[in-house]
Amino acid sequence: MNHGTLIFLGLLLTFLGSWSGMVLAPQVQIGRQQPDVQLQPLNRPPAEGDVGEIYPQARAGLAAQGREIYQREGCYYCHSQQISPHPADARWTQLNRFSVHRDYLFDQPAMFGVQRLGPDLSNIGLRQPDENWHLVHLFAPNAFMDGKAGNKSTMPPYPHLFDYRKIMPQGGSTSALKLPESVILPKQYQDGYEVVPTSEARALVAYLKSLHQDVNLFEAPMYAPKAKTNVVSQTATNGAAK
Amino acid sequence: MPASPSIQAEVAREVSGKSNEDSAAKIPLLLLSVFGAAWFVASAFLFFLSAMKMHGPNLGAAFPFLSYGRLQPAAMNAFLYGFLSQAGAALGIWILARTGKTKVALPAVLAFGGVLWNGTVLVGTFGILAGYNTGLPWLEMPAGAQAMLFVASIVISVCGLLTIASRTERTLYPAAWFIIGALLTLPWMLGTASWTLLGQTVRGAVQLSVNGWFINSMTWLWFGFLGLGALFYIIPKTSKTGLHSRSSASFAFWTLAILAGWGGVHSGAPLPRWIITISESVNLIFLVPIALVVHNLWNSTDGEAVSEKESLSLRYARFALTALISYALLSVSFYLRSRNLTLQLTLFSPGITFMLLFGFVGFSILAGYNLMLPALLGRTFSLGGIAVSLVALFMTSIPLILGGLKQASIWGDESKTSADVVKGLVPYMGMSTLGFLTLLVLSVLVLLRIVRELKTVVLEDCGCATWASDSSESKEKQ
Amino acid sequence: MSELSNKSAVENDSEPKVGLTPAPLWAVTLLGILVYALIVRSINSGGDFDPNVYGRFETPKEVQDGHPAVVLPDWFVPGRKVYGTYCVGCHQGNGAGAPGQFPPLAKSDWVNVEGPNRMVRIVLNGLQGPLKVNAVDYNNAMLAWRDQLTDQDIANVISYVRNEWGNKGSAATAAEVKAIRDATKDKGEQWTEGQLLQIPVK
Ligand code: HEC
Ligand code: HEC
Repeated sequence: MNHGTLIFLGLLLTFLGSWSGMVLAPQVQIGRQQPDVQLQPLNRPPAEGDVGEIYPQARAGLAAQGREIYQREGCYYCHSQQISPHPADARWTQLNRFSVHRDYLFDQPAMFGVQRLGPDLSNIGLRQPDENWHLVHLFAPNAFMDGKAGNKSTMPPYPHLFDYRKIMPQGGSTSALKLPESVILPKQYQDGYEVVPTSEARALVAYLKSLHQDVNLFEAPMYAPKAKTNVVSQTATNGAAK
Repeated sequence: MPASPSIQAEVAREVSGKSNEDSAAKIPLLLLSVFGAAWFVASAFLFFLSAMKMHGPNLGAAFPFLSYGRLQPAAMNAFLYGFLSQAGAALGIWILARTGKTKVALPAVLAFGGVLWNGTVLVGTFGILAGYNTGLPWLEMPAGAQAMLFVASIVISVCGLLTIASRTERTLYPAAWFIIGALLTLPWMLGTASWTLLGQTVRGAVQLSVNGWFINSMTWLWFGFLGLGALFYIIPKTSKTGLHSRSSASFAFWTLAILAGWGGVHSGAPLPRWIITISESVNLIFLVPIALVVHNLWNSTDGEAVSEKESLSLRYARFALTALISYALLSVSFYLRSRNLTLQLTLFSPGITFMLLFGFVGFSILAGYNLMLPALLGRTFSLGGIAVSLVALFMTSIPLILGGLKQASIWGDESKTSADVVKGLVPYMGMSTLGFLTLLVLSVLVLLRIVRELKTVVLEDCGCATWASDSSESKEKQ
Repeated sequence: MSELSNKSAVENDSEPKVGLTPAPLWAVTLLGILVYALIVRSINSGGDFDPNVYGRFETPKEVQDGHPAVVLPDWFVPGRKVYGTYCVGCHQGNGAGAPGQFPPLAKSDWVNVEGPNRMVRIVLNGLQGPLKVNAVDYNNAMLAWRDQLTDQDIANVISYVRNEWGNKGSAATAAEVKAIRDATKDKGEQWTEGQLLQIPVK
């Protein structure tokens, strides 16, 4: 091994090897998959309210903007968006199905996540559909966790997505957050101020609400009907609204 | 401790400044290594801040750039591209010139490459903090910075390769293979990954496969090869034994080259089963070349260090080997699917990644700095700090690894909620925060030491000369 | 202890020496065994390299078995395609339409009738004016598709719509469509609700 050329050619070959296996082959095999109609109506006797849908669909307007904020704030360093086939994941996400390639067709880039310091969010749109809950949580995640005040979450707050506004004499803004008691505003804002989400906060929540992988695809069927009990988010909502 | 005459002579020559490199060639290498050390401080500081955020998430909440999701990638990029890459490249090119008995080629161009690289990492890191994150792990710098990084990588790589091409010693020393490999493949990896992910944009989960491929390739072909190149030079040079086996090194080299890139997909990834199966198996096979390298190098450290001055390098190098083999053993858990499914996406993987990147690559670099910087500056000194380094390594990676195990067990427990994850991790986070603080102390010590030596040298050169005037030259003139 | 190469020991005074011990046999053997194991494992449990085998499934057959084999009628795939191209913009992917603007096709009482007679006319010539769908009032216009779509396309899309989203209905044939197309070729304008109600459903 004293010839540069030998090393060069050898490395080129080995490099092309892993490139073909991990980049080219997946791209050729699944890279061009298209959205498809999910299989419910043909596969199972159609149930009430069980309509077919072309899946996935590109996220529209607000949710698409929200995705950019999710990316900008690096939410994916603490939250994954991938349901593994392990049964425990089905419990955490309340969705008995694993994620597949097709779930991410319109996500450029898809933020699969690197860590689970917080829960997986692949199905958060179904688990927690309440907009006010999300807004309050983004504004002050530390004020409550699991619905209990005083439970400190490690999620950072995002106050820059909100404005403090003086409450007008004719009444507060309809979009102001309904804050639970456990959220304590800074001193100068405690009297006569309300917290109003910016359009960025609304977009981010629209994105979160658009996250649900509850479709029945050929390669990823749902194993059991969606869990009806929504323990986590119910308790959380109660905590947030009171 | 009696040192062999030839080495004594060499040390003497180095001290008097009459080493092989000419003075101009030193500048780009010094530039890369000093900036590398500066980035070490910057990244350790960012890591420390992001660890602090785990205790006080409200800390600095008014400043968007201080949120965890921005600090963490900024720290990682500063560490990978600022510290490890630059310091590794400087060391690598120095070793190429050394073993090839030649001068660094195109020093001015190399210096330009170094400046470009630094500018890019600076723009990139600030870009991430300002919110221009691309959303792709290890490629978070904004697309423009990514392209600049690619250009800079070509410049640096060409200078390194021209250096070895101009060698006067025909036989390529094993350390040189690894460094040539690293320099050759760096632009390929950066170029392909940013082109596929940011330019061409593959869709869906293929992105995950490409990203995994990139991270795994970079880990082994760039960082791993630089670390190995350094160790294959440092260990035989500083111990009296010489390199144990050339053919074993070559075997390990090719095995690593073939395997790199295949192991980057975790078991739960939303990718077809075959990709996952192959990736898992490859993670097991990695054990062979790693065991081989460690066996080879360990056998080369039989002897004592040749001199007091070099014993610190040897100690750093031995710890680097230990970290490497520990990493390999721990990562076997990625082969076992049931384990992998519970451990992936926990703190376990950053834990062992840090074990590899800091414990192995970082320690190799520190070992190399101990040899290279005195030679470049023409002074005898040692960086020290080995105890601090060890504490930093243990207190960062071990709590993360244990925390990951804890996280996995909570995750598998039916009765737990995310509040339990948060609470369960508090003690581990506390430990690792102290670890990152130690890392910060270490990096500051290293940087201060280097700057002090540099200042002395510059002052010795009559305080007015530019950096270019090497001490030997000015002495001769006097 | 390794045998040291003379060359490097002599000429390479300051650079480290290199031993010529061959690569250890254990490593070569181990590598061979592991690579063999990798190949066997990929063949046995790599899901036959099939793009549809993910996660909990081991083989393509298992994925199939998870889904009772569906024999798709001839019109399903082409019909869905026509729908996705021409109708989806107004009536939506899930057939739910848009409140107040576009009436739903899913479970619509215009679609779920015995025969496709009226629906063929709607698609051929369009529909306008006040319209009651599932007891909800609409007043909008749908354009004619007479010139854009062939008889076969219309038959396919109507059969598809009549059997998707929980709808149940007989399929339409190209011959039926052709007959109606010829019969209404002089109509020229869109249908209204009143006119359509005159037409027998079957
Ligand atoms: C430092 C890590 C961290 C970051 C960064 C982070 N989160 Fe969280 N997140 C958590 C933790 C921990 C929890 C669980 C405790 C709680 O509810 O606050 C959580 C919970 C959540 C939940 C509720 C999940 C559930 O199942 O109830 C949502 C939604 C959420 N985060 C969204 C976001 C968004 C959006 C961002 C980016 C703007 C983000 N998070 C950034 C750590 C983080
Ligand atoms: C430009 C938007 C538009 C497109 C495209 C369109 N429709 Fe309609 N469609 C309407 C509107 C509006 C009505 C209701 C007309 C009215 O209010 O009188 C309607 C009514 C109908 C109805 C009867 C009412 C009901 O809900 O059952 C059927 C059946 C129908 N469309 C089928 C189709 C089919 C099949 C296609 C594709 C070939 C199609 N439409 C394409 C706008 C559209």
